[in-house]
Amino acid sequence: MTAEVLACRDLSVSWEPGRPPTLDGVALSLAAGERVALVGLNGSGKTTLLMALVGLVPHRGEIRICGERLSRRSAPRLRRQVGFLFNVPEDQLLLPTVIEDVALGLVRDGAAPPAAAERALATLARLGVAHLAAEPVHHLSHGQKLRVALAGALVAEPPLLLLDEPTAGLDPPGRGALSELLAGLDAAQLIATHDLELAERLCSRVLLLEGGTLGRDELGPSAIRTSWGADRGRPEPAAGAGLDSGGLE
Amino acid sequence: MRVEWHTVWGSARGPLTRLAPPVRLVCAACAFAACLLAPAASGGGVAVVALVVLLWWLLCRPPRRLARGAALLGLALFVPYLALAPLIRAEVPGGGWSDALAAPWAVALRGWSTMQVGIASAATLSPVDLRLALDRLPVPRVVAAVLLQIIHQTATLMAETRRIAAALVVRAAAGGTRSRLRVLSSLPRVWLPRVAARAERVAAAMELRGYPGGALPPSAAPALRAHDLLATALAMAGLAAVIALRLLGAA
Repeated sequence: MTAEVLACRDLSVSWEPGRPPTLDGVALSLAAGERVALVGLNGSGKTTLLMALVGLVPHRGEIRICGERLSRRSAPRLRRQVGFLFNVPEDQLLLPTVIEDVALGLVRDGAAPPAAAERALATLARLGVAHLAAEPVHHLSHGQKLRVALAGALVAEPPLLLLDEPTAGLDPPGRGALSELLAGLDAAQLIATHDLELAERLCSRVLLLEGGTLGRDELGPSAIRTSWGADRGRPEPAAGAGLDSGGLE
Repeated sequence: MRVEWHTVWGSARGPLTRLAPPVRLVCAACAFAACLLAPAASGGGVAVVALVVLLWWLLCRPPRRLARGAALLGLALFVPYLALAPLIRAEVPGGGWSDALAAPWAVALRGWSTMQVGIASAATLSPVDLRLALDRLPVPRVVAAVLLQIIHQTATLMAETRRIAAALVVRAAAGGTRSRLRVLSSLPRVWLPRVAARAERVAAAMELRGYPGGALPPSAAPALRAHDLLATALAMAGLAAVIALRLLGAA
């Protein structure tokens, strides 16, 4: 039996009392190395689910990362097992230059700065943005920020990746390259996306989040397209992240 | 005249930029303190402040556009304090104009001069230099991390503000004056929730990425050279002279 890298049961998030919960009794699991797409219309709770899975929003229910239960005490340690790409990548760039930002996770975990910088540079090269290493993060375009943020999530080679709209705002060659890169990683991946082509190409399962629940698990992208309807079903993967909720849904 | 926040940092080309980053920061602190401590009521004190600002501009050589912008912004912010003089005079029976002007003048002079020194100093330090400087100086790591993050996020915040303002301008352009006023008055209500939401997301990212994780990892600071030590000594001597001038003036 393959080890579970991520599992949650009865996960619920409610932002306002008296209103329907954003997430209602969600259950899912990811095996090691498995790639799963999480799709849903705008405001369906995809970002909230990803944030809840690392304990960043108040929630009820049980979450396990690499077999260990997520709690207030275990969260800082377990989060080191997770590479997280935020919906708005700019939000997660915390240091002045690209190379420093990408190396942050490694240096924080005790790596010597030169070795960390070398690994960070190699990760940036995999994403095709090694030439940006010395750039201040504020000089980057949205697509470049996204790649840098992704490099920061990948650099420590965590066993689990939670990616929120990784292709939003990327040009078509960039989307293709990213898809190939993600396909070559050993980490388990939960990818919240509107890009059904990416989901189809990359993921073994597609989960549809609707009405706060993962009610119709294991649907294929074509069934989801049909379910969304012809007029609204075709998502726009090239659109900016700002079209979505822009953060906490 | 618009100056981008992130282009201010490290934009200067003066001789001071050749000093080690911590020395630049120490010299800046001395110049800043000199402007604050010089006796604003005496001619000598005003001359000292003017000299410090002029010297500091020459040593830092920030871009002209920035220097001009800083000077004008400083005047716009601090000259209105002088308008308090008539109110102060009315409160003090028998008081002359010089007495009434003393406090507003001191605020205006100190505010304007420290602002010039602060902005010119920022122009000598790139964010990386600032981090090196804070690492080398006896500043608690957490304080340094928070300070760096404030500077880093200010750029993001200003970019966000510009985007909101641009959207408001574009959307109000089609309407008349009333429509523009309505849009303008809605700016705080649009801006605040967006900034608050961004702050929440950044806080979540910091928590997730373990920033600063108790302490920001140390960076490789360059060794100090002879001219760094000389500059530090001169800056401290200058500050000591200003303190002496103040004490002598008070005596």
